[in-house]
Amino acid sequence: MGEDKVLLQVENLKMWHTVRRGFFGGVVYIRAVDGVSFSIAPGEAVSVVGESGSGKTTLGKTILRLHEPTDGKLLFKGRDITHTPEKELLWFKRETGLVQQDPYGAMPSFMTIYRILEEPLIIHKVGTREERAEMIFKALEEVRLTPAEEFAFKYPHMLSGGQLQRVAIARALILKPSLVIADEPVSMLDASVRVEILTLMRELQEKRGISFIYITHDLSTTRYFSEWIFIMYAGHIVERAKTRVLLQNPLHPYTRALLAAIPDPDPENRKRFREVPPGEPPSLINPPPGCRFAPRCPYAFERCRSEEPPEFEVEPDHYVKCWLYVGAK
Amino acid sequence: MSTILSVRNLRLYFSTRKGVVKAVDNVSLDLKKGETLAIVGESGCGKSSLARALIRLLPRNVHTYSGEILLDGVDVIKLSEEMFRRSVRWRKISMVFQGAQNSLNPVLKVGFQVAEPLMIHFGVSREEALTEAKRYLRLVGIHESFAERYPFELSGGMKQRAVIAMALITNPEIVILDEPTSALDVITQANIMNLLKKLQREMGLSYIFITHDIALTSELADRVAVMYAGEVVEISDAEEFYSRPRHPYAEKLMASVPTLRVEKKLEFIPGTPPSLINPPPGCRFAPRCPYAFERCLKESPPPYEYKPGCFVRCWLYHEGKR
Repeated sequence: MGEDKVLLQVENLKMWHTVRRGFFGGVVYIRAVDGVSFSIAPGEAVSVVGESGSGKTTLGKTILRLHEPTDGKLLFKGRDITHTPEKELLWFKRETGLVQQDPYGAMPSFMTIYRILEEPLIIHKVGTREERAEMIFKALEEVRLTPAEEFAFKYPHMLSGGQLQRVAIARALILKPSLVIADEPVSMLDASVRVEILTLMRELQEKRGISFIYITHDLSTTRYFSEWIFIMYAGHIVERAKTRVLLQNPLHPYTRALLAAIPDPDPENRKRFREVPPGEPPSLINPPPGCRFAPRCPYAFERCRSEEPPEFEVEPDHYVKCWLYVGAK
Repeated sequence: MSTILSVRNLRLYFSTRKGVVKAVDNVSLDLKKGETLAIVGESGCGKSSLARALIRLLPRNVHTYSGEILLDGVDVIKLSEEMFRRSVRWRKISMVFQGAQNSLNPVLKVGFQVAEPLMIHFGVSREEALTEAKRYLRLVGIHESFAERYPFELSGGMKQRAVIAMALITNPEIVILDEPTSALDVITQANIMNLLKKLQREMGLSYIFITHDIALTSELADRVAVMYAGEVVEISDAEEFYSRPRHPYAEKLMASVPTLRVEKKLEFIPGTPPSLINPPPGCRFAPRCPYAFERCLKESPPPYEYKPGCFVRCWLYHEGKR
């Protein structure tokens, strides 16, 4: 990713949630995102893969400035938006869109689909009433909810999960954003519908040259829908590389464990045991001092337990946060 | 292998305000001793209702509950509720419920909850039951000191292990696993699958493994039953099923499964499953089936046994088109 072609730049981003503990209001921090750096070029699709509690959702929300970062820097189109107050962020909100996991929860149940899609246009003062109507019908056709006139005047509960997720995509795209974040957009849908929705998102992303961040726990879908994969573990990005490279040559012990844990449909699976590390991710309140995967890592040595590894670029465009690769470049 | 459970023409219908929902409609299947039968299907296909019908844990609005459930040659569907509770549920068949790890009672110690089925169903004394509970906790890979802890002190994977211990403590022959790993992370899921394999080998258990995740079924399944709109449309041996599903629905469903290790062209199934209140008259998949012809839309296909114990409900096979 060249310096000249950067849409989003994330530098050592931290997002700590505060929680109160005990009677006297002692405050502790949940370090959901704890020092994450990367950049995304225009038109690129990136998958952020992690287990529940790895901080992937918080990362997405922080990038969209739904949270104010605790530390680090967020640059969008070269402008620093890390601490910009909400009311000066309208331009940025117009450039970005979000698709959430639960489409029923993400849509006001008392509004028609038409109203739901018109809302962002009104907020950003786009077009006249007639122009808006045209945009809404066109948006519905683009996500293949046809005849659009019929769907426009339905309420969310009248649509299936898959159809409603298309509305969510239409809403995220209606302002023609340059960055869209989809947070587990298909995990509540059935297998046969998942592929349909992901294919549609991929098509629209490529057609319009949108940058896309696809947040998921499901590594097996990423192959089909993104150029990059970032692997998150306990608030860190532990490995990032081009999709094919990462799937063929995973380097971080956690990535390898993740790949080893996922079955493909194969009758041989039932005859063997999977080699996966025991245990579960650490607490984000008191994470271990060194590498966060060290307590479960079969290759961990002294240094892993005491010192947090930096990110090593092992080969071009392949970054690993692991002491095993300290010699590389 | 001998057949341990035989289900014939099982029906479970529910009364709702909109009409009668045919959640399980004329299902027949066999389970052999020591094997795993996976039941796979999408949400609303009736797979969880089938599980509840087998262990007879039914809601109040049951409209029809009929057919035969033969366990060691006895039709247990004819037993009174009291007899069923005393001789079948938990004793012969037990179940790990979907999301059960989050239904543990937060104010009771884990050991007590694991021990509870023994005290209730076998009248075992508290002390003895707790000793057994510790033994079963060890068996599922939890240190016995955790018997004295509360659920919030356990991780998600450990809670799931405790729930499995609870299902096994009454020493059943058949365990129904309803989405046993649905809320767990993939590495934890793999650990639980390893545990289930180990327990099956050591204890000779028979599993009915219910899930929507086809790739995951291959971790345990010796045979696979595919459900669609309340019916079992195919039962095949695992050895063949993953490379060659027979029913058009199973074929399309398999084509929609993304694979990690090999690249393939993903497909999806247009349309949605039919209503279970007024299912279409012919094959229930016909309206979405790319191969459907005249007869499919009118007549419901009976099972076509393509080899002993394996069948597909599809006119293509009856008419020799496949």
